[in-house]
Amino acid sequence: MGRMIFLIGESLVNLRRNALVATGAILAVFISLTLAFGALVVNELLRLNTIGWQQGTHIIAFLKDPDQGGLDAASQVAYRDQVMAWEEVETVHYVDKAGAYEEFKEIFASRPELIEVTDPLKLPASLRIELQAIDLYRDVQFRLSADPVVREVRSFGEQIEQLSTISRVLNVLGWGLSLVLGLSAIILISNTISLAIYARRNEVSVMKLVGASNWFIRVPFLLEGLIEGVVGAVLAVLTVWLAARNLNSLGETIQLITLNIPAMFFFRWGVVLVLFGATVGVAGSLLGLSRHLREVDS
Amino acid sequence: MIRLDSVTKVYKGGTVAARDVSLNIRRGEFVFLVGPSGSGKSTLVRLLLRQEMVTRGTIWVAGKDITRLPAWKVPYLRRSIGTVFQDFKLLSTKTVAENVAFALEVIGRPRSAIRSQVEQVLELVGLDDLGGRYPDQLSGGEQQRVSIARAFVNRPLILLADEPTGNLDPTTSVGIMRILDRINRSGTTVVMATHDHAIVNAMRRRVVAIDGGQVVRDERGGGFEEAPAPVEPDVRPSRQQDLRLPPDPDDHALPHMDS
Repeated sequence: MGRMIFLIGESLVNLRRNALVATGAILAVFISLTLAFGALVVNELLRLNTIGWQQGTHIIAFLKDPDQGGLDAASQVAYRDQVMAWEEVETVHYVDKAGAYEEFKEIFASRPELIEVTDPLKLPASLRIELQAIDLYRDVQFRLSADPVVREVRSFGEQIEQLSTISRVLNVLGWGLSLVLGLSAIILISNTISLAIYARRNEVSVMKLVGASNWFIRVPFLLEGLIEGVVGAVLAVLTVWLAARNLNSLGETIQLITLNIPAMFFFRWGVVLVLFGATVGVAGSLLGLSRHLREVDS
Repeated sequence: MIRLDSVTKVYKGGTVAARDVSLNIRRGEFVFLVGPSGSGKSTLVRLLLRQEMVTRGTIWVAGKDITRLPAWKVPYLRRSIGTVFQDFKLLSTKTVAENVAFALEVIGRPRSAIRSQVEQVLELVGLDDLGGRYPDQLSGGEQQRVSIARAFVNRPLILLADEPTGNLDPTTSVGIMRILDRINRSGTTVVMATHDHAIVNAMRRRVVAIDGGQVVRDERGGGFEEAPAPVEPDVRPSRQQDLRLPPDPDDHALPHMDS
Protein backbone atom coordinates (compact mmCIF):
# COMPACT_ATOMS: atom_id res chain seq x y z
CA MET A 1 0.00 0.00 0.00
CA GLY A 2 2.84 2.33 1.01
CA ARG A 3 4.65 1.54 -2.25
CA MET A 4 1.51 2.27 -4.28
CA ILE A 5 1.10 5.65 -2.54
CA PHE A 6 4.77 6.37 -3.25
CA LEU A 7 4.34 5.46 -6.95
CA ILE A 8 1.16 7.54 -7.34
CA GLY A 9 2.96 10.44 -5.64
CA GLU A 10 5.86 10.10 -8.08
CA SER A 11 3.52 10.13 -11.11
CA LEU A 12 1.73 13.23 -9.77
CA VAL A 13 5.13 14.90 -9.37
CA ASN A 14 5.83 14.00 -13.03
CA LEU A 15 2.54 15.56 -14.11
CA ARG A 16 3.18 18.73 -12.11
CA ARG A 17 6.68 19.18 -13.50
CA ASN A 18 5.50 18.66 -17.09
CA ALA A 19 2.18 20.43 -16.67
CA LEU A 20 2.22 22.15 -20.07
CA VAL A 21 3.20 19.10 -22.09
CA ALA A 22 0.83 16.89 -20.10
CA THR A 23 -1.99 19.34 -20.86
CA GLY A 24 -1.14 19.03 -24.56
CA ALA A 25 -1.38 15.24 -24.35
CA ILE A 26 -4.69 15.45 -22.47
CA LEU A 27 -6.04 17.86 -25.12
CA ALA A 28 -4.99 15.52 -27.93
CA VAL A 29 -6.89 12.63 -26.32
CA PHE A 30 -9.80 14.92 -25.55
CA ILE A 31 -10.11 16.27 -29.13
CA SER A 32 -9.74 12.88 -30.79
CA LEU A 33 -12.27 11.19 -28.52
CA THR A 34 -14.70 14.13 -28.65
CA LEU A 35 -14.74 13.87 -32.45
CA ALA A 36 -15.12 10.12 -32.35
CA PHE A 37 -17.84 10.20 -29.71
CA GLY A 38 -19.58 13.12 -31.43
CA ALA A 39 -19.69 11.14 -34.66
CA LEU A 40 -21.05 8.15 -32.74
CA VAL A 41 -23.81 10.29 -31.21
CA VAL A 42 -24.83 11.84 -34.55
CA ASN A 43 -24.84 8.37 -36.05
CA GLU A 44 -27.02 7.10 -33.22
CA LEU A 45 -29.43 10.02 -33.72
CA LEU A 46 -29.70 9.18 -37.40
CA ARG A 47 -30.26 5.54 -36.60
CA LEU A 48 -32.94 6.33 -34.02
CA ASN A 49 -34.73 8.66 -36.42
CA THR A 50 -34.51 6.44 -39.46
CA ILE A 51 -35.61 3.43 -37.39
CA GLY A 52 -38.72 5.42 -36.44
CA TRP A 53 -39.35 6.17 -40.07
CA GLN A 54 -38.43 2.74 -41.32
CA GLN A 55 -40.87 1.13 -38.91
CA GLY A 56 -43.71 3.52 -39.77
CA THR A 57 -45.36 4.48 -43.00
CA HIS A 58 -43.06 4.25 -45.99
CA ILE A 59 -45.41 5.36 -48.74
CA ILE A 60 -48.59 7.44 -48.77
CA ALA A 61 -50.82 7.10 -51.80
CA PHE A 62 -53.42 9.91 -51.99
CA LEU A 63 -56.50 8.67 -53.82
CA LYS A 64 -58.59 10.60 -56.34
CA ASP A 65 -62.15 11.54 -55.43
CA PRO A 66 -64.93 9.90 -57.49
CA ASP A 67 -65.59 13.20 -59.30
CA GLN A 68 -61.93 13.26 -60.42
CA GLY A 69 -62.17 9.79 -61.92
CA GLY A 70 -61.36 8.00 -58.68
CA LEU A 71 -63.06 5.31 -56.67
CA ASP A 72 -65.91 5.60 -54.21
CA ALA A 73 -65.29 4.80 -50.55
CA ALA A 74 -66.25 1.13 -50.77
CA SER A 75 -64.05 0.60 -53.84
CA GLN A 76 -61.19 2.39 -52.12
CA VAL A 77 -61.36 -0.20 -49.30
CA ALA A 78 -61.31 -2.94 -51.93
CA TYR A 79 -58.34 -1.21 -53.57
CA ARG A 80 -56.54 -1.25 -50.19
CA ASP A 81 -57.02 -5.03 -50.03
CA GLN A 82 -55.66 -5.29 -53.54
CA VAL A 83 -52.48 -3.33 -52.63
CA MET A 84 -52.08 -5.32 -49.42
CA ALA A 85 -51.82 -8.45 -51.54
CA TRP A 86 -48.65 -7.16 -53.22
CA GLU A 87 -45.65 -9.15 -52.04
CA GLU A 88 -43.54 -6.05 -51.19
CA VAL A 89 -46.23 -4.73 -48.88
CA GLU A 90 -46.36 -5.51 -45.17
CA THR A 91 -49.53 -3.62 -44.16
CA VAL A 92 -51.85 -0.97 -45.59
CA HIS A 93 -53.88 1.39 -43.50
CA TYR A 94 -56.81 3.12 -45.20
CA VAL A 95 -57.59 6.70 -44.06
CA ASP A 96 -60.90 7.95 -45.46
CA LYS A 97 -61.79 11.63 -46.00
CA ALA A 98 -63.24 11.96 -42.48
CA GLY A 99 -60.13 10.38 -40.97
CA ALA A 100 -57.93 12.70 -43.03
CA TYR A 101 -59.82 15.73 -41.68
CA GLU A 102 -59.45 14.46 -38.09
CA GLU A 103 -55.71 14.03 -38.65
CA PHE A 104 -55.52 17.54 -40.20
CA LYS A 105 -57.28 19.03 -37.19
CA GLU A 106 -54.88 17.25 -34.89
CA ILE A 107 -51.78 18.46 -36.72
CA PHE A 108 -52.97 22.04 -36.98
CA ALA A 109 -54.66 22.24 -33.58
CA SER A 110 -52.66 25.38 -32.82
CA ARG A 111 -53.97 27.16 -35.94
CA PRO A 112 -57.79 27.13 -35.71
CA GLU A 113 -58.11 29.72 -38.52
CA LEU A 114 -56.58 27.20 -40.92
CA ILE A 115 -58.99 24.48 -39.78
CA GLU A 116 -61.90 26.89 -40.18
CA VAL A 117 -61.17 27.67 -43.85
CA THR A 118 -60.43 24.07 -44.81
CA ASP A 119 -63.22 22.14 -46.48
CA PRO A 120 -63.29 18.57 -45.03
CA LEU A 121 -64.37 17.24 -48.41
CA LYS A 122 -61.28 18.64 -50.13
CA LEU A 123 -58.93 16.39 -48.15
CA PRO A 124 -58.24 13.18 -50.04
CA ALA A 125 -58.51 9.66 -48.69
CA SER A 126 -55.18 7.83 -48.60
CA LEU A 127 -53.45 4.50 -48.21
CA ARG A 128 -50.61 4.41 -45.65
CA ILE A 129 -48.35 1.65 -46.78
CA GLU A 130 -45.66 -0.09 -44.77
CA LEU A 131 -43.25 -2.14 -46.86
CA GLN A 132 -41.48 -5.39 -46.11
CA ALA A 133 -38.20 -3.50 -46.56
CA ILE A 134 -37.56 0.15 -47.18
CA ASP A 135 -35.42 -0.43 -50.27
CA LEU A 136 -38.48 -1.84 -52.09
CA TYR A 137 -40.05 1.60 -52.19
CA ARG A 138 -39.17 2.40 -55.83
CA ASP A 139 -41.17 -0.48 -57.38
CA VAL A 140 -44.23 0.12 -55.22
CA GLN A 141 -44.09 3.89 -55.78
CA PHE A 142 -43.86 3.31 -59.57
CA ARG A 143 -46.81 0.93 -59.67
CA LEU A 144 -49.00 3.22 -57.57
CA SER A 145 -48.11 6.30 -59.63
CA ALA A 146 -49.14 4.48 -62.79
CA ASP A 147 -52.59 3.69 -61.40
CA PRO A 148 -55.20 6.24 -62.60
CA VAL A 149 -57.14 6.07 -59.29
CA VAL A 150 -54.12 7.48 -57.42
CA ARG A 151 -53.77 11.25 -57.26
CA GLU A 152 -50.23 11.49 -55.81
CA VAL A 153 -47.61 9.21 -54.21
CA ARG A 154 -45.24 10.34 -51.49
CA SER A 155 -42.39 8.20 -50.23
CA PHE A 156 -39.79 8.63 -47.48
CA GLY A 157 -37.53 6.02 -49.08
CA GLU A 158 -35.28 8.52 -50.79
CA GLN A 159 -34.77 10.56 -47.61
CA ILE A 160 -34.07 7.41 -45.62
CA GLU A 161 -31.54 6.29 -48.23
CA GLN A 162 -29.83 9.69 -48.09
CA LEU A 163 -29.72 9.59 -44.30
CA SER A 164 -28.26 6.09 -44.42
CA THR A 165 -25.54 7.37 -46.76
CA ILE A 166 -24.81 10.30 -44.43
CA SER A 167 -24.71 7.88 -41.53
CA ARG A 168 -22.19 5.65 -43.34
CA VAL A 169 -20.01 8.64 -44.28
CA LEU A 170 -20.16 9.95 -40.72
CA ASN A 171 -19.19 6.54 -39.42
CA VAL A 172 -16.16 6.30 -41.67
CA LEU A 173 -15.17 9.93 -41.01
CA GLY A 174 -15.64 9.63 -37.27
CA TRP A 175 -13.63 6.45 -36.91
CA GLY A 176 -11.02 7.59 -39.44
CA LEU A 177 -10.52 10.87 -37.61
CA SER A 178 -10.41 9.24 -34.23
CA LEU A 179 -7.89 6.70 -35.49
CA VAL A 180 -5.58 9.43 -36.85
CA LEU A 181 -6.03 11.63 -33.77
CA GLY A 182 -5.74 8.61 -31.48
CA LEU A 183 -2.38 7.79 -33.07
CA SER A 184 -1.24 11.38 -32.69
CA ALA A 185 -2.36 11.24 -29.05
CA ILE A 186 -0.20 8.12 -28.55
CA ILE A 187 2.79 9.90 -30.08
CA LEU A 188 2.15 13.03 -28.01
CA ILE A 189 1.84 11.03 -24.79
CA SER A 190 4.99 9.14 -25.72
CA ASN A 191 6.79 12.48 -26.11
CA THR A 192 5.40 13.67 -22.79
CA ILE A 193 6.78 10.57 -21.12
CA SER A 194 10.12 10.98 -22.88
CA LEU A 195 10.33 14.55 -21.58
CA ALA A 196 9.34 13.35 -18.11
CA ILE A 197 12.10 10.73 -18.22
CA TYR A 198 14.56 13.36 -19.43
CA ALA A 199 13.50 15.77 -16.69
CA ARG A 200 13.94 13.03 -14.10
CA ARG A 201 16.98 11.32 -15.59
CA ASN A 202 19.04 11.92 -12.43
CA GLU A 203 16.31 10.45 -10.30
CA VAL A 204 15.95 7.44 -12.61
CA SER A 205 19.70 6.82 -12.59
CA VAL A 206 19.75 7.04 -8.77
CA MET A 207 16.77 4.67 -8.63
CA LYS A 208 18.69 2.19 -10.77
CA LEU A 209 21.79 2.54 -8.62
CA VAL A 210 20.00 1.85 -5.36
CA GLY A 211 18.30 -1.22 -6.76
CA ALA A 212 14.82 -0.14 -7.82
CA SER A 213 13.25 -2.80 -10.02
CA ASN A 214 12.53 -1.92 -13.64
CA TRP A 215 8.81 -2.03 -13.02
CA PHE A 216 9.14 0.23 -10.02
CA ILE A 217 10.88 2.78 -12.26
CA ARG A 218 8.34 2.35 -15.06
CA VAL A 219 5.11 2.45 -13.04
CA PRO A 220 5.09 6.23 -12.31
CA PHE A 221 5.54 6.97 -16.01
CA LEU A 222 2.86 4.42 -16.96
CA LEU A 223 0.52 5.97 -14.40
CA GLU A 224 1.26 9.40 -15.84
CA GLY A 225 0.25 8.25 -19.35
CA LEU A 226 -2.77 6.44 -17.93
CA ILE A 227 -3.92 9.58 -16.09
CA GLU A 228 -3.48 11.70 -19.22
CA GLY A 229 -5.45 9.22 -21.34
CA VAL A 230 -8.25 8.77 -18.82
CA VAL A 231 -8.61 12.50 -18.04
CA GLY A 232 -8.77 13.29 -21.80
CA ALA A 233 -11.37 10.56 -22.35
CA VAL A 234 -13.51 11.56 -19.36
CA LEU A 235 -13.50 15.18 -20.54
CA ALA A 236 -14.52 14.05 -24.05
CA VAL A 237 -17.38 11.90 -22.72
CA LEU A 238 -18.60 14.71 -20.44
CA THR A 239 -18.43 17.30 -23.25
CA VAL A 240 -20.40 15.17 -25.71
CA TRP A 241 -22.90 14.15 -23.02
CA LEU A 242 -23.52 17.79 -22.06
CA ALA A 243 -23.83 18.80 -25.72
CA ALA A 244 -26.32 15.97 -26.34
CA ARG A 245 -28.35 17.01 -23.28
CA ASN A 246 -28.59 20.57 -24.59
CA LEU A 247 -29.53 19.23 -28.01
CA ASN A 248 -32.22 17.11 -26.37
CA SER A 249 -33.78 20.09 -24.60
CA LEU A 250 -33.70 21.93 -27.94
CA GLY A 251 -35.30 18.90 -29.59
CA GLU A 252 -38.35 19.09 -27.34
CA THR A 253 -39.51 22.04 -29.48
CA ILE A 254 -38.98 20.22 -32.77
CA GLN A 255 -41.57 17.67 -33.78
CA LEU A 256 -41.08 14.71 -36.12
CA ILE A 257 -37.46 14.10 -35.16
CA THR A 258 -36.08 12.73 -31.93
CA LEU A 259 -32.91 14.12 -30.34
CA ASN A 260 -33.22 12.00 -27.25
CA ILE A 261 -30.45 9.45 -26.82
CA PRO A 262 -30.90 6.83 -24.10
CA ALA A 263 -28.66 7.17 -21.02
CA MET A 264 -27.54 3.56 -21.53
CA PHE A 265 -25.93 4.56 -24.82
CA PHE A 266 -23.80 7.17 -23.05
CA PHE A 267 -22.92 4.82 -20.22
CA ARG A 268 -21.92 1.98 -22.56
CA TRP A 269 -19.87 4.11 -24.94
CA GLY A 270 -18.55 6.27 -22.09
CA VAL A 271 -16.99 3.19 -20.51
CA VAL A 272 -15.61 2.06 -23.89
CA LEU A 273 -14.10 5.49 -24.56
CA VAL A 274 -12.51 5.81 -21.11
CA LEU A 275 -10.98 2.35 -21.56
CA PHE A 276 -9.78 3.44 -25.01
CA GLY A 277 -8.26 6.61 -23.50
CA ALA A 278 -6.53 4.51 -20.83
CA THR A 279 -5.16 2.18 -23.51
CA VAL A 280 -3.92 5.13 -25.58
CA GLY A 281 -2.23 6.56 -22.46
CA VAL A 282 -0.52 3.31 -21.50
CA ALA A 283 0.50 2.61 -25.13
CA GLY A 284 2.02 6.11 -25.38
CA SER A 285 3.87 5.61 -22.10
CA LEU A 286 5.24 2.23 -23.14
CA LEU A 287 6.43 3.74 -26.42
CA GLY A 288 8.16 6.62 -24.60
CA LEU A 289 9.67 4.25 -22.02
CA SER A 290 11.01 1.83 -24.63
CA ARG A 291 12.54 4.73 -26.57
CA HIS A 292 14.22 6.55 -23.70
CA LEU A 293 14.52 4.61 -20.47
CA ARG A 294 17.47 2.51 -21.62
CA GLU A 295 19.40 5.66 -22.46
CA VAL A 296 19.04 6.92 -18.90
CA ASP A 297 21.81 5.23 -16.98
CA SER A 298 24.44 6.48 -14.71
CA MET B 1 32.98 -11.53 -1.40
CA ILE B 2 34.09 -10.36 -4.88
CA ARG B 3 35.96 -12.50 -7.37
CA LEU B 4 36.91 -11.60 -10.90
CA ASP B 5 38.13 -14.46 -13.09
CA SER B 6 39.98 -13.40 -16.26
CA VAL B 7 37.63 -10.49 -16.87
CA THR B 8 38.00 -8.64 -20.15
CA LYS B 9 35.90 -5.69 -21.23
CA VAL B 10 36.14 -4.31 -24.74
CA TYR B 11 33.91 -1.33 -25.56
CA LYS B 12 32.37 -0.71 -28.97
CA GLY B 13 35.08 0.79 -31.08
CA GLY B 14 37.67 -1.58 -29.70
CA THR B 15 38.80 0.21 -26.52
CA VAL B 16 40.01 -2.40 -24.05
CA ALA B 17 39.06 -1.20 -20.55
CA ALA B 18 39.82 -4.44 -18.71
CA ARG B 19 42.26 -7.07 -19.89
CA ASP B 20 42.19 -10.49 -18.29
CA VAL B 21 41.68 -9.11 -14.78
CA SER B 22 41.61 -11.64 -11.94
CA LEU B 23 41.01 -10.44 -8.42
CA ASN B 24 39.76 -11.87 -5.17
CA ILE B 25 38.42 -9.52 -2.51
CA ARG B 26 37.50 -11.04 0.83
CA ARG B 27 34.63 -10.05 3.04
CA GLY B 28 35.42 -7.00 5.16
CA GLU B 29 38.43 -5.90 3.09
CA PHE B 30 39.17 -2.29 2.18
CA VAL B 31 40.64 -2.13 -1.30
CA PHE B 32 41.92 0.87 -3.23
CA LEU B 33 41.81 0.69 -7.02
CA VAL B 34 44.49 3.09 -8.23
CA GLY B 35 45.81 4.05 -11.61
CA PRO B 36 45.89 6.89 -14.10
CA SER B 37 42.79 8.30 -15.81
CA GLY B 38 41.45 5.87 -18.39
CA SER B 39 43.24 2.92 -16.81
CA GLY B 40 39.98 1.03 -16.30
CA LYS B 41 39.15 1.67 -12.61
CA SER B 42 35.69 3.04 -13.25
CA THR B 43 34.97 0.26 -15.74
CA LEU B 44 35.63 -2.28 -13.00
CA VAL B 45 33.19 -0.44 -10.74
CA ARG B 46 30.57 -0.42 -13.55
CA LEU B 47 31.16 -4.13 -14.19
CA LEU B 48 30.61 -4.91 -10.50
CA LEU B 49 27.33 -2.98 -10.61
CA ARG B 50 26.32 -4.73 -13.85
CA GLN B 51 26.06 -1.34 -15.55
CA GLU B 52 28.30 -2.94 -18.15
CA MET B 53 28.56 -6.55 -19.27
CA VAL B 54 31.88 -8.34 -19.42
CA THR B 55 33.21 -9.30 -22.85
CA ARG B 56 34.88 -12.37 -21.37
CA GLY B 57 35.36 -13.81 -17.92
CA THR B 58 33.26 -14.20 -14.79
CA ILE B 59 32.48 -11.94 -11.85
CA TRP B 60 31.26 -13.40 -8.59
CA VAL B 61 29.63 -11.14 -6.03
CA ALA B 62 28.51 -12.64 -2.71
CA GLY B 63 28.63 -16.12 -4.20
CA LYS B 64 26.65 -15.27 -7.34
CA ASP B 65 27.96 -15.16 -10.89
CA ILE B 66 26.66 -11.73 -11.89
CA THR B 67 27.66 -12.13 -15.52
CA ARG B 68 24.90 -14.73 -15.84
CA LEU B 69 22.38 -12.82 -13.76
CA PRO B 70 19.11 -12.24 -15.66
CA ALA B 71 18.30 -8.52 -16.17
CA TRP B 72 15.35 -8.63 -13.77
CA LYS B 73 17.63 -9.77 -10.93
CA VAL B 74 20.14 -6.93 -11.40
CA PRO B 75 18.20 -4.58 -9.05
CA TYR B 76 18.53 -7.22 -6.30
CA LEU B 77 22.31 -7.31 -6.87
CA ARG B 78 22.45 -3.51 -6.57
CA ARG B 79 20.56 -3.63 -3.27
CA SER B 80 23.54 -5.47 -1.81
CA ILE B 81 26.02 -2.89 -3.15
CA GLY B 82 26.15 0.70 -1.96
CA THR B 83 27.61 3.21 -4.40
CA VAL B 84 29.32 6.55 -3.87
CA PHE B 85 30.42 8.77 -6.75
CA GLN B 86 32.59 11.82 -7.22
CA ASP B 87 29.58 13.92 -8.33
CA PHE B 88 27.45 12.75 -5.33
CA LYS B 89 24.38 12.04 -7.52
CA LEU B 90 21.99 13.65 -5.04
CA LEU B 91 18.49 14.73 -6.01
CA SER B 92 18.29 18.49 -5.73
CA THR B 93 14.51 18.47 -5.22
CA LYS B 94 14.74 16.29 -2.12
CA THR B 95 16.05 17.14 1.32
CA VAL B 96 18.99 15.32 2.88
CA ALA B 97 16.69 12.94 4.77
CA GLU B 98 14.53 12.40 1.67
CA ASN B 99 17.59 11.64 -0.45
CA VAL B 100 18.67 8.98 2.01
CA ALA B 101 15.13 7.65 2.46
CA PHE B 102 14.74 7.41 -1.33
CA ALA B 103 17.11 4.42 -1.39
CA LEU B 104 14.79 2.57 0.98
CA GLU B 105 11.53 3.77 -0.59
CA VAL B 106 12.43 2.41 -4.02
CA ILE B 107 13.07 -1.05 -2.59
CA GLY B 108 9.76 -1.00 -0.75
CA ARG B 109 10.80 -0.67 2.90
CA PRO B 110 7.94 0.24 5.25
CA ARG B 111 7.72 3.91 6.17
CA SER B 112 8.21 3.27 9.89
CA ALA B 113 11.47 1.39 9.32
CA ILE B 114 12.70 4.04 6.89
CA ARG B 115 12.50 6.85 9.43
CA SER B 116 14.59 5.12 12.09
CA GLN B 117 17.18 3.82 9.60
CA VAL B 118 17.59 7.29 8.06
CA GLU B 119 18.07 8.85 11.50
CA GLN B 120 20.70 6.24 12.42
CA VAL B 121 22.70 6.62 9.24
CA LEU B 122 22.58 10.43 9.31
CA GLU B 123 23.97 10.28 12.82
CA LEU B 124 26.71 7.96 11.60
CA VAL B 125 27.85 10.45 8.93
CA GLY B 126 27.45 13.40 11.30
CA LEU B 127 24.53 15.03 9.53
CA ASP B 128 21.77 14.37 12.05
CA ASP B 129 21.08 18.12 12.35
CA LEU B 130 20.93 18.74 8.60
CA GLY B 131 18.20 16.29 7.56
CA GLY B 132 15.87 19.07 6.45
CA ARG B 133 18.39 20.89 4.25
CA TYR B 134 18.56 20.62 0.46
CA PRO B 135 21.79 19.52 -1.28
CA ASP B 136 22.52 23.00 -2.62
CA GLN B 137 22.54 24.29 0.97
CA LEU B 138 25.40 21.94 1.85
CA SER B 139 29.17 22.00 1.31
CA GLY B 140 30.81 19.44 -1.01
CA GLY B 141 31.96 17.36 1.93
CA GLU B 142 28.48 17.36 3.47
CA GLN B 143 26.95 16.35 0.13
CA GLN B 144 29.38 13.44 -0.10
CA ARG B 145 28.39 12.41 3.43
CA VAL B 146 24.75 12.36 2.32
CA SER B 147 25.77 10.23 -0.63
CA ILE B 148 27.57 7.80 1.70
CA ALA B 149 24.57 7.76 4.03
CA ARG B 150 22.32 6.86 1.10
CA ALA B 151 24.73 4.13 -0.01
CA PHE B 152 24.96 2.65 3.47
CA VAL B 153 21.40 3.10 4.76
CA ASN B 154 20.46 -0.32 3.40
CA ARG B 155 23.45 -1.92 5.21
CA PRO B 156 24.93 -3.33 1.99
CA LEU B 157 27.51 -6.12 1.92
CA ILE B 158 29.74 -4.08 -0.37
CA LEU B 159 30.34 -0.37 -0.78
CA LEU B 160 31.78 0.81 -4.11
CA ALA B 161 33.20 4.31 -4.16
CA ASP B 162 34.34 5.83 -7.43
CA GLU B 163 36.62 8.83 -6.71
CA PRO B 164 34.58 9.87 -3.61
CA THR B 165 37.16 12.51 -2.66
CA GLY B 166 37.80 13.71 -6.20
CA ASN B 167 35.88 16.97 -5.70
CA LEU B 168 36.96 17.62 -2.13
CA ASP B 169 39.82 19.42 -0.41
CA PRO B 170 42.28 17.33 1.64
CA THR B 171 40.77 18.15 5.04
CA THR B 172 37.25 17.24 3.91
CA SER B 173 38.61 14.11 2.23
CA VAL B 174 39.98 12.95 5.58
CA GLY B 175 36.50 13.23 7.06
CA ILE B 176 35.03 11.20 4.22
CA MET B 177 37.71 8.54 4.52
CA ARG B 178 37.09 8.31 8.22
CA ILE B 179 33.42 7.50 7.54
CA LEU B 180 34.34 4.91 4.92
CA ASP B 181 36.80 3.37 7.36
CA ARG B 182 34.12 3.21 10.05
CA ILE B 183 31.74 1.54 7.60
CA ASN B 184 34.45 -0.94 6.65
CA ARG B 185 35.02 -1.79 10.29
CA SER B 186 31.35 -2.69 10.61
CA GLY B 187 32.06 -5.58 8.23
CA THR B 188 31.21 -4.00 4.91
CA THR B 189 33.64 -4.63 2.09
CA VAL B 190 34.80 -1.31 0.65
CA VAL B 191 36.23 -0.96 -2.85
CA MET B 192 37.35 2.55 -3.70
CA ALA B 193 38.70 3.81 -7.01
CA THR B 194 40.86 6.86 -6.42
CA HIS B 195 43.58 9.18 -7.67
CA ASP B 196 44.28 10.52 -4.21
CA HIS B 197 47.91 9.67 -3.34
CA ALA B 198 47.68 11.12 0.16
CA ILE B 199 44.66 9.08 1.17
CA VAL B 200 46.06 5.82 -0.18
CA ASN B 201 49.45 6.41 1.37
CA ALA B 202 47.92 7.40 4.71
CA MET B 203 45.54 4.47 5.05
CA ARG B 204 47.89 1.67 3.98
CA ARG B 205 45.25 -0.81 2.91
CA ARG B 206 45.21 -3.24 0.03
CA VAL B 207 46.09 -1.45 -3.19
CA VAL B 208 45.23 -2.81 -6.62
CA ALA B 209 46.98 -0.76 -9.30
CA ILE B 210 45.52 -0.85 -12.78
CA ASP B 211 47.11 0.37 -15.96
CA GLY B 212 45.87 -0.16 -19.50
CA GLY B 213 43.06 -2.34 -18.16
CA GLN B 214 45.47 -4.76 -16.45
CA VAL B 215 46.27 -5.34 -12.80
CA VAL B 216 49.89 -4.29 -12.50
CA ARG B 217 50.17 -4.48 -8.72
CA ASP B 218 48.17 -6.02 -5.90
CA GLU B 219 49.71 -5.15 -2.56
CA ARG B 220 48.33 -5.38 0.95
CA GLY B 221 49.22 -2.38 3.11
CA GLY B 222 50.61 -0.66 0.01
CA GLY B 223 50.92 2.95 -1.05
CA PHE B 224 49.86 4.76 -4.19
CA GLU B 225 53.18 4.05 -5.87
CA GLU B 226 55.05 0.81 -5.74
CA ALA B 227 57.11 0.59 -2.59
CA PRO B 228 60.88 0.12 -2.88
CA ALA B 229 62.14 -3.30 -1.94
CA PRO B 230 61.88 -3.66 1.85
CA VAL B 231 65.10 -3.45 3.78
CA GLU B 232 63.39 -4.77 6.90
CA PRO B 233 60.79 -7.49 7.31
CA ASP B 234 57.30 -6.13 6.46
CA VAL B 235 55.57 -5.86 9.80
CA ARG B 236 52.12 -4.46 9.23
CA PRO B 237 51.21 -1.85 11.85
CA SER B 238 47.95 -1.95 13.72
CA ARG B 239 44.91 -0.43 11.96
CA GLN B 240 44.63 2.58 14.25
CA GLN B 241 48.28 3.37 13.68
CA ASP B 242 48.25 2.89 9.95
CA LEU B 243 45.36 5.27 9.36
CA ARG B 244 47.72 8.14 10.19
CA LEU B 245 44.73 10.44 10.34
CA PRO B 246 43.90 12.75 13.22
CA PRO B 247 42.04 10.89 15.98
CA ASP B 248 38.36 10.30 15.20
CA PRO B 249 36.24 11.83 17.99
CA ASP B 250 33.11 10.02 16.72
CA ASP B 251 34.80 6.66 16.46
CA HIS B 252 32.44 4.03 17.74
CA ALA B 253 31.37 0.62 16.63
CA LEU B 254 28.69 0.52 13.94
CA PRO B 255 25.79 -1.84 14.11
CA HIS B 256 26.88 -4.94 12.27
CA MET B 257 25.33 -5.29 8.81
CA ASP B 258 23.59 -8.51 9.77
CA SER B 259 21.87 -6.86 12.72
